[in-house]
Amino acid sequence: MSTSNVERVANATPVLVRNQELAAANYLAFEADRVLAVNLMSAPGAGKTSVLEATLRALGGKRRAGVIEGDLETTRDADRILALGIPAHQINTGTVCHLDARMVSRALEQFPVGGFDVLFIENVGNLVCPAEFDLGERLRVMVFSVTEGADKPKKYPLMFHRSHAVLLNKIDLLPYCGVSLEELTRNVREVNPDAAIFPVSCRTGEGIAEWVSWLDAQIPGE
Amino acid sequence: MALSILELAEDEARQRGATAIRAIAVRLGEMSGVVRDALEFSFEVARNGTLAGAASLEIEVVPLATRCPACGDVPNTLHDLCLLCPDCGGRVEIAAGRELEIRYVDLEC
Ligand SMILES: Nc1nc2c(ncn2[C@@H]2O[C@H](COP(=O)(O)OP(=O)(O)O)[C@@H](O)[C@H]2O)c(=O)[nH]1
Ligand SMILES: [Mg+2]
Ligand SMILES: [Zn+2]
Repeated sequence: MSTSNVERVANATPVLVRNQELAAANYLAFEADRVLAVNLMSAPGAGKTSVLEATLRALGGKRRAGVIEGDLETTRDADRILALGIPAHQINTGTVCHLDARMVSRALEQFPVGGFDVLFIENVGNLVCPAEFDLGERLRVMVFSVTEGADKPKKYPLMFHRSHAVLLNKIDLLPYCGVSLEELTRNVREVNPDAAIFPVSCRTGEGIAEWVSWLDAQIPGE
Repeated sequence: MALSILELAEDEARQRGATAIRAIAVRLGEMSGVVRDALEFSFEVARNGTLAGAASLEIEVVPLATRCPACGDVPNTLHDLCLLCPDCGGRVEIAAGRELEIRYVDLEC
C-alpha cells in the first residue's frame, strides 16, 4: 500500500462563487447599457409568460423592452413574445432546471440589449433552484399563482424571501380555489417584509396597472 | 450544486498538483435552498470520473438563526419563518442559515 500525504486546504469559498462573478459582470454590463434587468421566476405554469405579455402591452410604445426566455427545450414562450412584436431570445437549458449567469452571459453575446430600457429574463419554471442563481438582474420578480395555495410562502420561503416584488396572479380564480388572499399576503409579508406585493389577474387585467407603474418607476432615466 | 463543488475542489487539486481528492467539507445553511439528501445523492453521481471519484462529502448543516436589531434573538423555524419581530414588529434579520460554502478540501499529494 502506498503512503500518500494528505494536505488540507482550508478556505471559505462560496459554492456559487463562479456564478456570482459572472452575475456581477452581467450586472455591470446592464448598468453600463442603462437597461433594467428583471429576473422573472415562478413554479411552472404560475403565469410568467402571461404576466410578460400583459406587462409588455401595458408598457406599450413608451418603453423599449426585450425578453430572454429560459426553458428546458421549447421555444413556445419566445414565440409568444415575438408575436407581440417584441425582440426575444431563447435559451434552452436542456436538463438544467434554472438559468445561470453563464447562460445569460452567452445569450448577451448574440442578443445585444443596449437598445432596451428594460430586459425581462423569464427563468425556467421551478419554485426552488432559480432563487439561488443570480443572473446579474437588478430586480427579482416572482409570479405566484393563488391556486398554488396560501401556505407555499412558508413551505418554500427562499424565492419569496429573495424577491423584490411578488405578483399574486390568477386572482380571478380566488372564488373557486378557496384560498384567502389575506392569509397568502400575510405569509408573503412574513418571509419578506420588504417585498412589493401585487395581486393581479392576467385574465381580467386587474392589478396589472399598479404593478406596471411600480416597475416603470424602477427604469433608469435618460 | 454538486457540480459547482466538484469544479472548485478539482481546481484546487490541480493548482496544487494533487493526485486525488480525499474529502470535501461544506457548510450548508438550513435556508440555503439546498437540501442535504439531494446534495449527497447528486454528489455520489457527479463525482464519478473526477479527481474526487472516491472522495467523501462532509456536510455541516448550519441551523437557521434570526435576530431583531432592537430586541435580540428571535426563535424561528425554516417552514414557519416570520421575519417580523414578535415584540416590536420591526424587521428580523437572518443571522445564520443561508451559508453554502466549501470549508476545506483534503488533497492527496
Ligand atoms: N385564470 C387565469 N389563468 C391564467 C392567468 N395567468 C395565466 N393563466 C393561465 O395559466 C397557464 C400558464 O400560464 P403561463 O403564462 O404560460 O405560465 P408560465 O409557465 O409561468 O410562463 C396558461 O394556461 C394561462 O392562460 C390568470 O391571471 N388567470
Ligand atoms: Mg412561460
Ligand atoms: Zn424587535
